Amino acid sequence: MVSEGLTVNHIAVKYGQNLVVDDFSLTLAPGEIIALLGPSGSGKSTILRAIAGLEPLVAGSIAWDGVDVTHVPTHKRGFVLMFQDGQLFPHLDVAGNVAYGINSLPGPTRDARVAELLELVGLADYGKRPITALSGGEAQRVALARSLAPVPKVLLLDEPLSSLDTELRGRLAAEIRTMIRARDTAAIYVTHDTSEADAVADRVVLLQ
Amino acid sequence: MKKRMAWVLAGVLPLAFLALFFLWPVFSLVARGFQDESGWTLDAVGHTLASARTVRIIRQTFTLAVLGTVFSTLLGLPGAYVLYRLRFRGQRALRAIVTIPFVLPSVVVGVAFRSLLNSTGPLGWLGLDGTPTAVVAAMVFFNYSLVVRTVGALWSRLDERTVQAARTLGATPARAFVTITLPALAPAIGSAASLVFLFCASAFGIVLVLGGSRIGTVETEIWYQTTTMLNLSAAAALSIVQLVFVSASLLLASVVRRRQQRALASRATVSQQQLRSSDAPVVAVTLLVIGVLVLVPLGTLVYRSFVVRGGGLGLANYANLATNASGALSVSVWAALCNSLIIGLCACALALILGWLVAYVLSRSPITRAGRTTITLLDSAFMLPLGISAVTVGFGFLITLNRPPLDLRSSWVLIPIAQALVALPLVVRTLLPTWRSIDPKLRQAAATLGASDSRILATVDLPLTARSIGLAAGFAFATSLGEFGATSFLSRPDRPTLPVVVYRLISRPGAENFGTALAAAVVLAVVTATVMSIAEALGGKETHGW
Repeated sequence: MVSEGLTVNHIAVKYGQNLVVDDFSLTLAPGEIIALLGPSGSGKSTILRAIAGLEPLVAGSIAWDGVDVTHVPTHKRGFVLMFQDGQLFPHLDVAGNVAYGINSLPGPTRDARVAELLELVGLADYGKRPITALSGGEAQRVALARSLAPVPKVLLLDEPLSSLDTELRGRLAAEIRTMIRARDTAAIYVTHDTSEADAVADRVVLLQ
Repeated sequence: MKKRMAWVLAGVLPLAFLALFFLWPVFSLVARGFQDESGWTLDAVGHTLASARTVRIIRQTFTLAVLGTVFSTLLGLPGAYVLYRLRFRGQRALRAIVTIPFVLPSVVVGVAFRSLLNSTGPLGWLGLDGTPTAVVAAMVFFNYSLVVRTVGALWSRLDERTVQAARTLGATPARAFVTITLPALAPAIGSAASLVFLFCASAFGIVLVLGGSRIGTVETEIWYQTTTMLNLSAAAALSIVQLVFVSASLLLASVVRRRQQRALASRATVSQQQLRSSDAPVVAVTLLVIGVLVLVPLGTLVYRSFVVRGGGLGLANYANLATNASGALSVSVWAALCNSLIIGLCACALALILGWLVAYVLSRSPITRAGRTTITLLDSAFMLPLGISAVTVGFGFLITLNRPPLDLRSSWVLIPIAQALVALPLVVRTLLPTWRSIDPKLRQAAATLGASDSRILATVDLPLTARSIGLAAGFAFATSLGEFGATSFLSRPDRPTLPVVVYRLISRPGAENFGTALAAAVVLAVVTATVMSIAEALGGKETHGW
């Protein structure tokens, strides 16, 4: 049976008195990569946070495969958010970060998964390195590997390349698409860069 | 070259003070432990350390300090979360309440718990008066805010997205706390815990007032052996034990503090969150701790100070402050307060001048390895008085500064000097973060605009550190007002300070003495708290860092 994927249904989010997201809807098919394109302040990061369960909705609903997950706590949703600045755990090494979301797997399986993902993102021998020794691009590769490790239903990427320089950004955008494709994961990619959106996504959604 | 001279001078002056008024007295006292009529010997020290009494005292000191540290930390963590990480109405008031115990003189803390726990107190039926439990409770009362403030300062700056990243990776709130938040807080927890341990292991006033004759720690034992038994070698042996305790925890504190500064460097902005229903249990625990542990002893102290003979309420105890009717003292309590204020002002001025110089030197980050090592050593050296038994300092003064060329034994100036020593580490800790936070580029900019070194100091460094100087002055003054360990040795019968008077009153029998002691303790508490709140208002919010 084919999954129905993600349905975001007329959601609204408030910060204090400000309505940051108003009546936003979206559907995402399994395996599809969507870019959410919009200027800063258009609420695109907030939409991702709401889907991840980090912001309460004041209206609307979110469903996965037809099942309402609006009130499911973040850690049970299986939607992984990759932050703009990676948010790698500074007290863990590279392998420790990648393994964080798959701690319930038995040791050997987990190690194999970590190695497999580090290879996917092109950092095969980096497992024992401390986070502080990574360059900006490497850190985001590790963050991607960490996000893909628990096999998320949806991968949410919040401007993952915005802190990198232009040349690296262009190259990594295409690579990220290849990596997500390789895992056959559905993803929402937030950016304010049109060329980045085109390079990564199957479909671009514009936000005003 | 001229610049280097200024540096050296700024470092040498406080070092000379430290050497003359701290290292020399302390080492003389320790050396005395290794001497008898015939010369150098280890017998006396060996004998003391092997005795059953000493072993019991050391074990008791360690047990009390560990318990005090564990409970302060366990209760302080939820407090740090509620008072610094969350954001709600009335939070400022709660923070202020929590800070009160830490600035209270130890004698006042002791008297407050006595008023709560003694046979006529509201919790007298618990039978806790004079028990280790009472001492540990007072230690937690005293150090709770240290944990709350130190851990809270870091917690309020933790990026909440790190925990959110863990949550989207499937971590439950509990797992995210244990695997992400706790490790991030570890430096602050370690730093606070090692300082709390230090304060607990060297607690003197609390133990003396609450422990009675049943509880002895290394600190009170040094006092007992020197003043009552006149056994200098035993006291010296115990001072050595205390030195080991203190050096170990100071070393630990300095290591974790270094790590915390590194950890803090990356996060500048405060991120607090709104109160949520899931926070209810932690908030409840914190309110309970603040109520039972902080407000009840303070409230009891104040209330009972107004209870007069026969059980009614009145001002009789306060009237006694002026008259000294009971004859327990040679001066009135008000006269003692005057002594305290004058001595406190002198101590405060001395500690500020020295502390400012020390902070100036310590804020440098030299390029050479040797330079960095020197700074680290200096840093530790000026922290030493924080934990060295104040009793040791006081007694060391008496035996070293009693002969020409420096015969100060009969002079009251020894008291402010000793108190300045005790306050110096606090002053340095308060000033240092501000000194360190001055961007060197500001000085470079001033220099390119034609400012000389002295003008840079006056127009850049001084204005930028002014606020923390106000705060440091408050700390120094309050510390001096409440100092009891060293002062109890140096204070002369005709010119006692207020804490000394409070202790004399509380340790004498009689309801009237007890009532006057409570009133005097309230006065001391009010004066100290006023000084601190003025300083905090001058210093701005939450500028102090440990």
